[in-house]
Amino acid sequence: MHFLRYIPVIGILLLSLLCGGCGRLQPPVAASYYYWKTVYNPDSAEQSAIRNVGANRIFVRIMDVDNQGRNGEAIPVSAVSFANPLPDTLDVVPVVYIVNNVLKEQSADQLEVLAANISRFVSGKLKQAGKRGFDELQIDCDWTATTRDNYFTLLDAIRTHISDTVRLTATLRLHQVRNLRSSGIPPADRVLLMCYNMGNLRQYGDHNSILDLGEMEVYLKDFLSEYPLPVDIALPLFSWSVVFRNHAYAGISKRLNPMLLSDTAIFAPHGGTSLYRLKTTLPDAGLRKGDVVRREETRWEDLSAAADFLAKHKRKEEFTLLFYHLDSQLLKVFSNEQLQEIVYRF
Amino acid sequence: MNNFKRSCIVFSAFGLTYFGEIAINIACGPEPDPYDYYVSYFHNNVPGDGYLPFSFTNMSFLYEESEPESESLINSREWADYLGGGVHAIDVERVMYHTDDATASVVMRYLTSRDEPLPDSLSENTYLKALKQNKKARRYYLFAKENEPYAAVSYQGYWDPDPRDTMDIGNMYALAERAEVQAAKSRRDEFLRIRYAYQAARMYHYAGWYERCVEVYDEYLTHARDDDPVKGWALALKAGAVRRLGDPAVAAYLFSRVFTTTPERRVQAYKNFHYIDVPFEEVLSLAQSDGERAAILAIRGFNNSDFDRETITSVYDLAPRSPLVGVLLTREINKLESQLTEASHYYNGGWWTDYYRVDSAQVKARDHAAWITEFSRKLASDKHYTERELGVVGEAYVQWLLGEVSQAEALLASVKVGRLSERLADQYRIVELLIRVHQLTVANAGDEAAMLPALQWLDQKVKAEAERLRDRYGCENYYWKAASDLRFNRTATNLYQSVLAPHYMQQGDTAMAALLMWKGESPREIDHASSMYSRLGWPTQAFWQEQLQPAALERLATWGREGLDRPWAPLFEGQLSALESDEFWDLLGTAYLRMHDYAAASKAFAHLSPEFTLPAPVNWNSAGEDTLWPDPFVESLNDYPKRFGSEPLSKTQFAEIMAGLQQKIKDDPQHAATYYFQLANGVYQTGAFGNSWQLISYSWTSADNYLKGAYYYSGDFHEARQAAAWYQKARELSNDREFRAKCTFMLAKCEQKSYLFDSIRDYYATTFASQRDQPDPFWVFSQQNRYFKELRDKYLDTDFVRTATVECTYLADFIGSDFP
Repeated sequence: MHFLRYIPVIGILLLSLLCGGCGRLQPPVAASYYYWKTVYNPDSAEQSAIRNVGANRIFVRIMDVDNQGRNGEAIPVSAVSFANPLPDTLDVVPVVYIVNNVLKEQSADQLEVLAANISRFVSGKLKQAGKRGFDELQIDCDWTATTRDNYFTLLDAIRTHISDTVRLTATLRLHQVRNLRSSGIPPADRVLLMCYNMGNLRQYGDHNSILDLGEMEVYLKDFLSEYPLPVDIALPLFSWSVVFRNHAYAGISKRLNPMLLSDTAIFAPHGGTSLYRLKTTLPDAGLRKGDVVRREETRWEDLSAAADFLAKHKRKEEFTLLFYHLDSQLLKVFSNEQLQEIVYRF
Repeated sequence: MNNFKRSCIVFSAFGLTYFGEIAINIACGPEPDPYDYYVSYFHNNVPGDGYLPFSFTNMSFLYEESEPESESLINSREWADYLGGGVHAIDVERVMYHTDDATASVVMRYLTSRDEPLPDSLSENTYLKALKQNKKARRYYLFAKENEPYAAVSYQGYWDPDPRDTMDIGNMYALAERAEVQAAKSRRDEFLRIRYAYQAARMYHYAGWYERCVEVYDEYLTHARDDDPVKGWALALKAGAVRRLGDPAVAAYLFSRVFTTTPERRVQAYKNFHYIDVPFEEVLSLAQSDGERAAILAIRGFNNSDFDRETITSVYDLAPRSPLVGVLLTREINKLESQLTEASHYYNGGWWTDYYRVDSAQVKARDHAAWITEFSRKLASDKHYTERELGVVGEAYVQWLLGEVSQAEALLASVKVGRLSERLADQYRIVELLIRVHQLTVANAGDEAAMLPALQWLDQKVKAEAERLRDRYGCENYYWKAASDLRFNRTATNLYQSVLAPHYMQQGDTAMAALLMWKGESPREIDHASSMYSRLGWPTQAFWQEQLQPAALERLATWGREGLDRPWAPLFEGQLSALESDEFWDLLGTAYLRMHDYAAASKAFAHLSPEFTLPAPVNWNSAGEDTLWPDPFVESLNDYPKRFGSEPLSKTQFAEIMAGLQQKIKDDPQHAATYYFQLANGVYQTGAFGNSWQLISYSWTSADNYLKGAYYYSGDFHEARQAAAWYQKARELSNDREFRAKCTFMLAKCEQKSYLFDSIRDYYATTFASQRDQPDPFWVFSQQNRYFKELRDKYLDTDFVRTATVECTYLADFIGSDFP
């Protein structure tokens, strides 16, 4: 019979189809967003973005911890408030940002108290969110060599205050992936690699301090796959205008409409770079004539290049991919398909 | 500051007034006690407890902060009545007001589940069992618990994740709406209806929706009974809401209504009334009846600490039966006391006294007192006020204050004490006692024995009061916690220490005075430890150490051994036995030292146990707090800087040395002059200006260098009198010119000591006079010193004088040839 002759061909075709259809056989990527505002109240665009990436968890910043107490003691700052309880389909992963200064000159007892306070506060806030508990707690801290030991002690203390089933995650910056000896490895279950704000924000120049592939190569290329803890990834969605006055860093202008940058009557571009010089004063944005604005943007091309790089150099394991951060303005820049595509790159 | 400096009792001239002049209270100590800063005998709780927080005290805004009645008790009783069937109010109170979080959740589970049991501690709770049966009450309970976290916010600090300001206000609105719905549904059950309405009003108020709060009150609570406590609590909420909505006059008026109808919120309403800034007449014009007007006037009057005729007259005209009248009258009487009882001035005795005890203030007070007697008479005769006898007893007391004792007596006689309410009867007996005391002290027509029953009555009242307060507050420091309630104790202290003790001092019956001081000692001073002084209490201790001559002490010792042979003996039962102690012997010996009876002193000191030491004075300014040992026989030209001894010297040793010297004078008359000189030195250094004052005095102040002092040992302590006598003797007995020069020099120094004043104020006045281009008064005084003349006329050429003028530069001035 002549159709039997085609069985091997069909078989190979089917196989390749199947394999092609599945893509590479990868472990799952759980995508989600950071929620970094002080009132949890996502609008419809934001809610649909959550659904769009198939997120069943959202990473909410619960509070900063900073030495703003009356006697200089560490207290919660700008704690989130939940306008409404979250739907049952969406879990909360609480994130606590700890200012590095808080960890200086703390005794073990003080760290113990701090850990207890943090744990209690987080639980209280989760209740307001309508959640009984949490599966994961993320601590965000840019620790340094001097605060390293105290920070790790704090993490240990926090662990004793949370349930055994809760995963403890610590954020990591690029250089901390490479410089294991000086940075140490935090006593956490996982780490979250923040793939943004990797360059030097305050340095004058036309680099992009948010996302810089060169920097990623330096710190991650040979080291990411060696990192001893499971690694989650966070990618940026944001852009901003960095202002320099007389070549000195003057801040990030929140009130500058980026559309104005292309108005040559107002701004003089430095050909081909991301720098723009102000020709007049813009009082509404708090800018003076002669100020130089570096427009740092996260474009989809950079994002996908970063995703490809990370996919290549990362260990093949389950992980969470986070976008920083959930905001309808930012979502206008990226379409649903684009974001889904980023997820699929892994 | 150690105890030595804590108080000083100054007994000045006695025969002045029948109150005596005693400043017992601290002239330079801590803040005045708002309950005890003037002598008072008219108890401020005679008109009842309803308005006690508004009793007169010029030292604080309120006499007491706690409300006259307990809101939790009132509410619990209401619930017990509502639920009926054997529910006890105390069970309600326990669950409603005294459960912690853990217990509350247990109760919650019990009420909401089918067969969850109660723990043993609550299983017999009648309230919970009733709630289990009564569905509507249970629903209300659960609803109230839902409201609780929003209503009873306790700010825990920075680390509280749930502070109300980040809570959902919307949630509070939702609760309020639900409450309203329930109120509307509970049409048949007035009890629950108004409570739901109260919850709604409260939630709206705390969430800041003041209009709704007012609306809820107007709809559901306006027509509730006036004496319903919930109406009062809700009215307070409405008043606060109205105030925030910008209508202060109405708000103040509403608070005045709460003040009248709701004793458990009276202090709150009073404070809120006074927080509101609005012209008084505007508020008054909103009153709808005489009673309401009276209340508003009284609220203003309670805040007035000056003499006030207007308030009491108006309130009496408007509402003669109201308890406010009695409270206002009591306040006026207390105000009079603070001006008229001579010993009452907090500032009495200090150098600033005259600034406050102006004659014109006395005149004003007596004038007001006369007016008060007229008013009281009217109150009594009109018979409108519920207890008209308050006017009689009040007037009697004021007459006593004015010194019109026979009038006071007549007034008391017109009333049958048996018919009076308990507190007024007590006050009657106090005034009666004061009259008898007056007769005893002023007219000398009193009879100690006849007074005994009254004093015993007072004693029993004092003990009962202390016991009651100890039960309530515990034994530790109850006299601080209960300070506002120790009325009989203060009456007794004032009577014994301010009136009776000075009288007996004046009579020369010092030992009796000493006992009376002890009798009147306030419980907070007494420590029932072993030492005699701690059992005496500090003011009595100071009195005993400063005022008792050996005869009085010997008499006390005899009484201690053989019992008191006076009519008032029963008052001192059990107290006198343990008088003979080390401290007593030390005191007796010191008293003899002061009298220069060294043999007797030694005899007294012989009773001391070997390990007995009194605390020695130390130099606070030195790094090591060096002890200041006496060195009485030192010979020095300059008194200052003082040269204290480097070795201990006890009073016993001093007595022996002095007695020894006196013996040597007898045995070796040839060298008598030297011995007299040494005796003189010894006693000279016991002056305040010397290094051995601690041999005859238990305290020392720098003021002692300027004050005449009223101690029986002031001759030594202030004036160097005995020293001068002995230097004189020494000089007479010697022919050695150098020696005589030395004696004359010492005599000159002794004479200089008499530059003394009656009070520090006088000293400052005189000293400052010299700054007004007048010669220094001390210079003028020194010109009168005859011994400077003698030194110049007779001893100028001696070696001694020449050395002395070098070492003591003023001497050169005083004996210079141009010195008059």
